[in-house]
Amino acid sequence: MASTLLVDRHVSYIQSLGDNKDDLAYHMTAHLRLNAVYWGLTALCVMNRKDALDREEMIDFVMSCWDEGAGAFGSHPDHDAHLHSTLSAIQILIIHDALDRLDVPRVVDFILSLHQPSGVFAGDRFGETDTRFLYCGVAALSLLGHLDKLDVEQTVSYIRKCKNFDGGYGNCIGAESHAAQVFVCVGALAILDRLEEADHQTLGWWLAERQLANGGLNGRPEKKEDVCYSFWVLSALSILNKLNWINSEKLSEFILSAQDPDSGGISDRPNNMVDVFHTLFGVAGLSLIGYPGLDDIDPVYCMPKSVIEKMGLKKGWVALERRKAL
Amino acid sequence: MDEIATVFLKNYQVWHHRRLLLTYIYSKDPGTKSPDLLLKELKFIEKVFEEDSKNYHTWSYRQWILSNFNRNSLWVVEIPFIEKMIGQDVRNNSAWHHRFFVVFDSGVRQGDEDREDVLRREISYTKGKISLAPNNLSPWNYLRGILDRTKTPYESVEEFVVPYTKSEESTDSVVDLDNPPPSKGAQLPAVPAVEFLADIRGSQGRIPEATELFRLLGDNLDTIRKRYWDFRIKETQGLSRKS
Repeated sequence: MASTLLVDRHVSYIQSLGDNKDDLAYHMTAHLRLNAVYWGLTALCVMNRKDALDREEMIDFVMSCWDEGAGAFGSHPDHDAHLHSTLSAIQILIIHDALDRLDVPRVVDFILSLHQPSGVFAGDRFGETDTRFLYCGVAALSLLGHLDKLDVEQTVSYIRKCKNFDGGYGNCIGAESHAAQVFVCVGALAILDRLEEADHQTLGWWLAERQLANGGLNGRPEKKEDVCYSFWVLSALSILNKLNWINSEKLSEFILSAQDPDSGGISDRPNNMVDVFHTLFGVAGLSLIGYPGLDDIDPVYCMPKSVIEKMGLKKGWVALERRKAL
Repeated sequence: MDEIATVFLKNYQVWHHRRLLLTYIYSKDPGTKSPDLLLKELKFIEKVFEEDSKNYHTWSYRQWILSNFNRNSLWVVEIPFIEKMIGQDVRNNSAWHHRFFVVFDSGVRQGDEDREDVLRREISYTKGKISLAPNNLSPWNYLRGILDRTKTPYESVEEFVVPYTKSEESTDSVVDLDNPPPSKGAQLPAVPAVEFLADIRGSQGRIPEATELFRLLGDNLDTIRKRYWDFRIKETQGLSRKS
C-alpha cells in the first residue's frame, strides 16, 4: 500500500484517459466528458503538471462543446447546453488563460435565464433544480466578472431556506444534509460574501463528525467513507476556518490508501476502480491539508489558488500550511 | 419508466422526469384526479427503497410529492412509513431527516395540533430508538434538533442521558418507562451521550464537569476529533471566565 502520493502514476493515468475510445465506458460517460476534462486538468495543476495535457487540443475540445442555439456549453459535441458543463468550460478556459475565446454576454444570458424566482438555478431548459446548480450559476457569473447581474437577496434567501436542523444543507428546501450540498451552499455564500448566513459552529461540528475511525470522510451520518468527501467536507471546513477539526494525518493515510499503484488514479475507497473524479478530489483534499509538493487550491472555486488570486476573487478561507516534507 | 427508475435509481434525471410526468398529469385534471396515482407513486418509492433505503434522490422526490400536492391522504401515511423504515434500519439517517421534515418542517397535520403532545411523542420515540443502538448518531441529532426547534432545554432529558455515559449497564431492576436504558450488549459509554451530557453541564454552568467530559472524548473515546474537543474545552472555559 502506497504511503506517498504517486504523482507520476496519476499524471500518466490522466494522460491515458482519452486513449480508449473503443471502450463502451468511454461513450457511456459522454454526458460528463467536459466535466471530466476539468477534473483532470485541475488535478494536474494541483500536482504541478499542468503541461501534461496539450493546451490547444483541450481548448479546441472545449469550443467543440459549444451549443450555438443556447449560447453555452454541453458536456460533449452535439449535447445540449447545461449549467454544469458551462461552468467546467469557463474553469478550463480561465486556467488556460483563454477566456477571450468565449462569447461572454451570451453565456451570461444563458446562466441568468436559468435563475428561478425562488432563488435556485435550474441546470438546463428541462428544469431540474438543485443547490449544485445554484453554485454553478453563482461561480460562473463570478468567474466571468458579471456577479453584479445576479439578484443576490433572492439567491441567498433560497440557501437560507435550505438550512437544516443539524446546520447542514441539502439539494433543495427540506432535503437531508449532505456534504456535497453543504459545499455548494457554503461555496456560494462565500462567493456572495454572505457567510454569516451559515451556523458556523453547528455546521463545523456536523462536518467534523463526517470523519470515521479509518480516517476517511463520509457524506452524511451512518454512510460509508468516500475519497471525494475529502474535498466537499474539507473545502467547507476551510471556508469556515475550521480545517483543524479534522484529523489530517489519518485522512491523508486514507486518501493515499485509495491510490492504484499500478494504473495510477485514486478511487472512492481502497481496492475499488479508480476514476478521474476521485483522483481530483483526493489530491485537492491532500493539498488543503498541506501535503508536501502540491500546489495550492482555492476551495471556493476548486481551481488553482494563484489563478483565483490573480483575478481578485480570493475569499477569506484558510488551508493548512504546506509541509516541506512528509 | 418504473423499471428504468429502479435500475438507475442513482441517476438524477430519472426522478426529475417523474416529477415532470406527475406535474403534467395533474395539470390536466387538478381537481378531479383521485389521489390514487399519488399513493401508487408513494408505494413505488417504497419499492425502490428495498433496493437502496438511503437513496438521496428518492427521499427528495418523496418530499416533493408530499409538499407539492399537499394532500392529507398522502401525509397520513408518512409516520407509519417512517416507523417502518426506521424499524428496518435504525441507522437510516434519511428516514430520521424525513421524520423531522414531516413532523416539524411542513406545517401541522390534522390531529397534531397539540404541539406539546407531539413533542412528548417524538422525544419518547427517539429515546426508544437510542436505547436500541446508543452509538447511532441519527437519533441523537434528531433529539438535538427537536429540542432546539421547540426551545426546550437539553437538561430536560438529563435523566435519560446519564446512564448512556456510564461504562457499564445499570443493574437497577426498576424499569423507568420514560427513560429506556441502553439495550443489552451496547457499547458504553456512548460517544454522542457523553457529548450531550457535556452540553447539558455547560448549559448548567457546571464547567469542570463539562470540561472533564470533553476531555474524556478527546483523550479516550473519540480521539479522531481531539482537536474539536480541545476547542470545546477552551470555549467552555472561556464561558466560565465571562460569568
